[in-house]
Amino acid sequence: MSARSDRRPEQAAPRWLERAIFWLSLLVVLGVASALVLLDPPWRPDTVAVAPKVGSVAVTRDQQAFVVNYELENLGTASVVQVQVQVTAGDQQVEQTIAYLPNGSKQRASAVLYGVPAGTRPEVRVVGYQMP
Amino acid sequence: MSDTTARATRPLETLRPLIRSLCGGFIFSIPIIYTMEMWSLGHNRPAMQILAFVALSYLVAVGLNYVSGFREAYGWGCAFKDAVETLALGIAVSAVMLVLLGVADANGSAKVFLSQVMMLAIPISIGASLSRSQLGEKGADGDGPEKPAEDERPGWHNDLKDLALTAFGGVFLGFSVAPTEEILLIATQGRWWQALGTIALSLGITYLMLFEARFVGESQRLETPGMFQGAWPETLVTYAVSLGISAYLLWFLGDLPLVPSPSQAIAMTIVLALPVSMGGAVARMIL
Repeated sequence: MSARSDRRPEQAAPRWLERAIFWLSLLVVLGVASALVLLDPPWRPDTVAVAPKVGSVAVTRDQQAFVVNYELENLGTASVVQVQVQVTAGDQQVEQTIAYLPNGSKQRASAVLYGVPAGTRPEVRVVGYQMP
Repeated sequence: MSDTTARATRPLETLRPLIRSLCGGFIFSIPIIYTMEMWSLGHNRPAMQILAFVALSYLVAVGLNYVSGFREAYGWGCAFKDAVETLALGIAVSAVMLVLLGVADANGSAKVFLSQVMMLAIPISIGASLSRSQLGEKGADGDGPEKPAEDERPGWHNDLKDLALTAFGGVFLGFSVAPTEEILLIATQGRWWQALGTIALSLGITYLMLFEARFVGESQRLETPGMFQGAWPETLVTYAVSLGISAYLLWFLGDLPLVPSPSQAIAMTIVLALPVSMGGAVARMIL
């Protein structure tokens, strides 16, 4: 491109400041883009492909309510947005969808069931998940 | 040194386009900055997808800069450089606003924060490009001959200008609509005749806005030379560009990658193309 066509409209202003603004801008754009790629590199394996699984399960009772607190593990870093979980206790069953932000490897959740006899051991299992 | 030259070489003269970009970025993107759906856009998207979206939006800003620079000397080099500066400005403003609004969590993930910053920087930088190239006082940023009038330019330049302005207006209006769940809802509930009616309405309202409503520059538009210049060819091209912009916005911002059937994806694109084509038509009217 000729020198004439590269001339800036505000050419009368100080060239050093004009150049400084451009190079600083380029540095900001490339810096943020590089940081983003390094924090979420495309070459990193997606651990979600292994499938989310249930970690620790704990039970609390609140009068008639039977509360099952559980942790989802192996959620990966960037892909899964929803996990379908089935919680069974005795003859009671509830299915819930856990939506989460993929910024960690674990997600806590709880399910509330009623009419569950004392001493019942709940079963929590992942029945599906969705990836974008 | 004369008094005039002394005034022109003040650092403020160099900063003035940047100041105008900053103000324009705020003016045009403040409704988007205050929208909750926008904050969550960066949460679950891979970095490369976000960067691809930023790159495509950057090209739209370059096209807008090139076709709307006031001076003859304003070439592709200036257009690329200005777009880098407005994108950097968008990143800075976006980061500051996310912190001030309390969206950025000090204990949260750096990846999520940077993703939010990048996604929000796009509308801010597009608004900044618009104000930098369009809303400045003519002659305020330097000397040199002004660009020739529309009818003195080659036809391809007018076609490129129309395409760039349609894409810009469409992206700008569609950006706040594409992430909403309503697009998927409307497309899912709609029947085939409603989709055809939406296409007809999009074409009709675009034609009326550009060629029958007697808005600003209508007679000039009809006389401008170019391959696609003419009422119906322009209307059809505007709608075709709007469909492309809609698919692009829905892919990056909306639910398009999640829908199971192609027919549903097409329906969503048609639904969003109505506001996008209006945005494209408005941009061509006022810019």
